[in-house]
Amino acid sequence: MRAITAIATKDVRMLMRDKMALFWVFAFPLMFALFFGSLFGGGDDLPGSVTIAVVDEDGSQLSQAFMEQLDSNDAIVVPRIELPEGETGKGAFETPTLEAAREGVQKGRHIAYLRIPQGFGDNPFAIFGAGGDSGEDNVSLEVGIDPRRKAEAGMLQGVVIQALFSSLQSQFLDTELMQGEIEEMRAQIAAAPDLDDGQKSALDQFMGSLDTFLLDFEPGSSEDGAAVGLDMSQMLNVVEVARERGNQPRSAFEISFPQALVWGLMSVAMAFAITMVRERTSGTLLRLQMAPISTAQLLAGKALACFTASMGTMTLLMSVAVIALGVRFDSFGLFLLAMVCTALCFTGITMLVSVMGKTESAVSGAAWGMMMPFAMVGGGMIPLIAMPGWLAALSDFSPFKWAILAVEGGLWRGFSLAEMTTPCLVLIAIGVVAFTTGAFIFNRTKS
Amino acid sequence: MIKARALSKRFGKLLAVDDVSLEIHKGEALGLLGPNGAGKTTTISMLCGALVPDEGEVMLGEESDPTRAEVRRKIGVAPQGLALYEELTGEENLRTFGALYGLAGGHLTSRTEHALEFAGLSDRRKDRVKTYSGGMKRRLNLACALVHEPSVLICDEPTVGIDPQSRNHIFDCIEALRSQGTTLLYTTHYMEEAQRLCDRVAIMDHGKIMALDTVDALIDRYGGKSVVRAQLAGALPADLDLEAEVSGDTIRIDTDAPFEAVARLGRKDVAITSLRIDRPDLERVFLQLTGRSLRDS
Repeated sequence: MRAITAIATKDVRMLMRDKMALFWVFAFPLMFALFFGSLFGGGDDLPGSVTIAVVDEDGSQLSQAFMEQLDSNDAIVVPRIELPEGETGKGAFETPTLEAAREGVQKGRHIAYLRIPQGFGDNPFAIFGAGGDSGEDNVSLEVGIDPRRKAEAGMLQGVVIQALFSSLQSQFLDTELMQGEIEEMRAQIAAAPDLDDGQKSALDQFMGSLDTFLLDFEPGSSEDGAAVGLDMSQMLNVVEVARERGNQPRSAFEISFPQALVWGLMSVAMAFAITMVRERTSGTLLRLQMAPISTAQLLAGKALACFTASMGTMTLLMSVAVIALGVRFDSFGLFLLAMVCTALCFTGITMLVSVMGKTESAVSGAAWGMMMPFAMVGGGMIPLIAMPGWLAALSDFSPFKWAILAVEGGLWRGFSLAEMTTPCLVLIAIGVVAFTTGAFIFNRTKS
Repeated sequence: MIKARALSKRFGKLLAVDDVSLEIHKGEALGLLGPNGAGKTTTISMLCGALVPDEGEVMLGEESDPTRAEVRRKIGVAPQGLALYEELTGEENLRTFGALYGLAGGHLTSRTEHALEFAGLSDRRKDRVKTYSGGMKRRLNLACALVHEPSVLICDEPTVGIDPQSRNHIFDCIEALRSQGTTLLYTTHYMEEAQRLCDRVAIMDHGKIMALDTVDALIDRYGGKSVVRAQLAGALPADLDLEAEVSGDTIRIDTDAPFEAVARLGRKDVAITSLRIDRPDLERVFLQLTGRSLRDS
């Protein structure tokens, strides 16, 4: 074991002193992760546009107007139904059930849901607590959101209130609509059997005044309910809906860093494959072969060095992601398992790559030629989550895909141990086959 | 100590070593003298187990398998190429190779110190090898072979391409090791090194050992006569009584007793403007055995 650790220590120390290798092993993957992570949304999915599901239990003209108002705000997206082929323009809004909307928030498909209760359109004033003394007809909007999304919750409440006032104001300013409503109410007053003539006359006069008021009304600047002394807590009922962790990345860095890890590991594999050839060309391999160690010990030392460097690279990169960028693990234990399996896989690949040529340039060229296509189709460039179907199928043949999948499994995919088994077994199998093949070729050609 | 019997090794169509047998006694220094490509490195690679011979066998002491760890611990090899890690310091190189030979803790530290002193590199111990001169690298290359205190040292052309100062330092080191009883196998194509350092010398060419004996015995057997060359100031006396070739004003005398021949010229009052005596050496032995000069090979 002493000889194995001596070889491994020596190799890791040499890697640490090779500035160019360090750049490719650590600096380049870090830049890759930061660049693409920032490019695709950065550290958090804060609302550039917050997608909310609207549960329209009312189905009234007012609720539709309200949804239009919400959707017209740049900060909010209300999903629409796809239009039939040939039709253009805006389609109707998706109106999921409350259960579906709640599940959508839990699964991370939507940031929040908004429930418009039945009766919202019948009595718009009820939302201001004007449903009578009993309050039986009072209605309030319901917002369901993860309690951890405090920033989005605050923003959403403001936008909802703003949209509510805007849509109500539109209703009041629609003179035809309001005059129709007033005419209908005057007819109801006239026909009411429990009112005497005096009461009917007073109410009819009031409705006439209201009609005149609406005709003369100029929209004011006050769109804020608080400005007119309204209590918004009565209008909005915020419900906590905890998001289930484990099937959507919380930030773009949770996608870019797993990719960066495999780029880093590819560079580790390249660096160690080249050192293996350098041992041969510089004559140190001869000295190692003349030392009282077996070929198995020699290869074990090399493998330990590569494994250690791989684990070190992943640890460093993920430390940056966690400390500086707030990346979190769904399961640290499973993430660790993924790291170990990935490091084993790339250790095997290193062994295989190291025997692909007899000179440093030959090995370097062969390694790039072999690993680059695997990296490209395996999620090194296009994230697994965004792959088209044909590429996703092709990626099954790339060790990079399984490495990224395993790492993401521990990071944000919420894999169970059983789900983690497949990528981990594939990684170990690739590592064992590659290492055995490489060791066999090395043994045959070492002289 | 080391016994090789009928060793042969072939690389493709090239027969690199052809039926080589030799024996090195404990504490003895044996030189393998031959030109580049003679098969010296292949021979020592088989002796220390780095190469498996196609035919023949090697015995180190009572052991017939030089690849066994116990056997290899007794051997130190300084390869012909500089087998060093240039990104590591001299000390780190020594500690790495010491650890490979099973040294650890205080023993590894003390042996590393000793090897650094031996190589004259104590003051450069923390410097990376890539900053060393060629001579320093050669010395460190030798020190790495000695860090584990082997009883057999195999040096494969340890003085190639270095300055005279470093060469002399290496000679002094090897002579010190010899005085401590270390068995030495030394390959070189410099005959003066073999003459200075080795008890016996094997002349090797085309994978074969042409002759193996002490330096004096080889010269006696294959070196031929000494040659006396003199430039004459006047005519030779008629009664010189020496077998000599005269060409113009130069006389050449091939003799086993060169000083006697010079004395005889003096007794006959032969006027001489310059005199040169060429005694037989390993170069002449090599020429005699192979038909070509060692330096031209």
